[in-house]
Amino acid sequence: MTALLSRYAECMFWFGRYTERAACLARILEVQASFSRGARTEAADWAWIVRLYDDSERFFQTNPSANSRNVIRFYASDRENPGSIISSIHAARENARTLRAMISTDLWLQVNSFYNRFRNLPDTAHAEARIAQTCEMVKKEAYAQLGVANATLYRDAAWHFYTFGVMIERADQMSRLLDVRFAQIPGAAHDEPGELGDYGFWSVLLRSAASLQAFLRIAHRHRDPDTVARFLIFNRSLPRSIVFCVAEMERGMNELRSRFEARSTSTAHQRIDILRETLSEAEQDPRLIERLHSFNDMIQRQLIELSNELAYTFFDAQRPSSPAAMGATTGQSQTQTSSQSQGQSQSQGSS
Amino acid sequence: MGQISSVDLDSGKGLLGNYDPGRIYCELLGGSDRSTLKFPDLWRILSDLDIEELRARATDATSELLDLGITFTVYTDRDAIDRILPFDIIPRVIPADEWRTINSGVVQRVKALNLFLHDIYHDAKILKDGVVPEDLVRSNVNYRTEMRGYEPPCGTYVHIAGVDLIRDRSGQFLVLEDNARTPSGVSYVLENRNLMQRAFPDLLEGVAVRPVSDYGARLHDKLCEVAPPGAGLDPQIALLSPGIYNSAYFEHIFLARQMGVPLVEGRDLIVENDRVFMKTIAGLQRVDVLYRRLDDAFLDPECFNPNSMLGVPGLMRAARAGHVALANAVGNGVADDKAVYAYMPRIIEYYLSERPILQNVQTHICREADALAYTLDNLDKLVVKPVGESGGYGIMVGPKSTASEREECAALLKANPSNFISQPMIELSVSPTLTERGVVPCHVDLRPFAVTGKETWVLPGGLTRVAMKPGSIIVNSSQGGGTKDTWVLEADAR
Repeated sequence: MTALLSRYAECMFWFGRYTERAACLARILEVQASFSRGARTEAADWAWIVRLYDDSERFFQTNPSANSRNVIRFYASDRENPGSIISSIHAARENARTLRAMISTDLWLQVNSFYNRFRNLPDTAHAEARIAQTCEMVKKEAYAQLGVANATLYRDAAWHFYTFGVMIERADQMSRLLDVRFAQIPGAAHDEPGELGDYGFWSVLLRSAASLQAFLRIAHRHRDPDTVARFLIFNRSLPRSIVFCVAEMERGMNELRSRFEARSTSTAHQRIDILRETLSEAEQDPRLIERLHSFNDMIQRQLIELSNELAYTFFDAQRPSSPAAMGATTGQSQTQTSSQSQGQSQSQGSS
Repeated sequence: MGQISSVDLDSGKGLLGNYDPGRIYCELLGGSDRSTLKFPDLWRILSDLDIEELRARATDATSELLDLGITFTVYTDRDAIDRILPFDIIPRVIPADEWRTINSGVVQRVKALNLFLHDIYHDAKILKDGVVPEDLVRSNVNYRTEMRGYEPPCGTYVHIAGVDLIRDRSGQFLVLEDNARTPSGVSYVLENRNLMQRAFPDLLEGVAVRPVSDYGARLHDKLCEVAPPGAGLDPQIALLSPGIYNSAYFEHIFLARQMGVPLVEGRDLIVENDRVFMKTIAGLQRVDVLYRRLDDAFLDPECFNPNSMLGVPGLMRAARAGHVALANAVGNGVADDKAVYAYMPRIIEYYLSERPILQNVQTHICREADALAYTLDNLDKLVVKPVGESGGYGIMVGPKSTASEREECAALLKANPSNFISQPMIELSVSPTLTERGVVPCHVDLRPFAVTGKETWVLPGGLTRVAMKPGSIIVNSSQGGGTKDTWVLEADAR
């Protein structure tokens, strides 16, 4: 059996990551746009999205204020922002283009038509009044992309790298959302323990995480911040919980080792073990809610370290020589650094 | 069903009612003597179709091409623009007897090309015997000294050949050009057939057309045949592409998928101890045969263009050490050069002691004084082509040129005569083609694909390119040409 090319493994990883990112981002914008209208002033605050992705520096370079118009443009249609929806869809498609010899035709069709559909939207589709519908379309298409991948991709080593990409991104998005949203619990100090102060706030948070309905089913009588946080982090049946994502990655790593003769997976395995331990300690901690920020910081750092380890072990990336350079700092969403553009200047190469 | 006679041609009814190729050879109707139809069944089916129906089916087929991304890609700074090669929905048909001639002619030609290449990179007998001028070969920019003394497996240099054929007014097939480097277009042959099967199941019904779908499997078999001796029973084959920015990237994907082999780029490969490896998640893995779709110049920065980022340093060392086979071989460009082309009939006779089965188009080699004088005197009648160019660029079509274009051409000719050849204007055959003006005769050529390991196999069919601009005879895709499905019939023409 021919082993998977390192470059393809990397493209699969980023294809999954960017697709998931487009879905998460579209959902967050959609929920914000739908629930900010007519809401109290803090709900109409769009600046939290800039904080969510740690983009303040880049954002305020070109935008004087974080009003709805600027935030929507920055995250929907700004090609200069590598974390925008258009950049994510584009990056997913360019990775898929490289992968076309491996992925199913059905998946390529979806990727291609999704990108063309978004790119051909009129400017008016990004106006505040229309952005909720636009983002709903993006979310549906991105989910369709994940669905077609699920239904048609051959389950070889490449599939596992795709899964790593989706799951790392999903866990990172969840952790960010918890971090930023729990820092702005309205009137947190005054609430009775065990009560959700502002039902609207919590339902928006759960909607942003695509988890409201599931939460209502299992925790209808315990709508307090601690239950919400634990649900989103630890619930093993919630496909968006951090524990779920880590468990999927662990399963993938095991298969990679046992079925696909992958290179020594031990360091990558260790990174997943560390994540799992962090989660299991946190689950035991009755006062987790008080140190949620440091917990999330740790999770995000460990996700970055796992992502980097995949690059060193499987994607033929150079491991940095100094230990200092290996330390991860949390911040903006990770982006692909491989030389995708290599060769554009020598675009001919053959007749 | 009654016999279709020539009377129907003039009836003025149906899709083909106004179709008139005049005295030019028509692929559907035959020569100018049209007392009997060449393909009566097909003629009848086409005649019964309504033009709106045909247009609707053509539109469906085109949008399918775009959705499937069967495109060649033009990159700008900002974006990738996917263009499809225009697809004409009316097939070009070749009866079995005509195909037999093409098939044996192409096999003969490829055999001669391989013997010629082996000779010029070894004893160079043909040069010593004065059959081909020595400087034409040795000073050719595509002559690679690195290939001297190298023995390719099976003696094969031209693993994949595309021999461009045209048909003159009498219906005779002539070779216009040999493509012995990295001929492209075979993916369209297979995809066009897929499209036809979906758009026109009724047209294919009851007509025994030879299949083209096994091309990938055949190619894979042939490439296995040329694997180095140590490769074992299941050699590792990979397709080396310049990457997603290459305009033929779709074809690279297509062929890798058809063969079930990895599509690699230079950066995926590494040469260690004169052996080629690809970087995988399981570490380095040996590669035995590289079907490379990358020009010689970019292949190995150690030997050729030192700035190439697309190639693999040390690849030539590995090839010369016999640890990897390159298909096609390096240095083939000297054999498909437009100047060497003129000598092909003599090259065939020299090595094979056979008469060429397919004739050349008459060619004047402007490096020779007589030919230059003749060319300069007859610029208005000749087609002047620069040698060593590809893609239909720099061609001066005399009968369609302006006086100033001819003056410009004459100046170029005088400045550097050995850079040019000239040929008489051949009236390419036509085939009925759906255009904005209805179904009209458009000029076509044919590129059959030959695959060679130990022996040569020719894909029954090939790429029919059609000049869709009114009056144009340049069928090249970069010059606005389109393609047609090409049907080789099991049966002879009637």
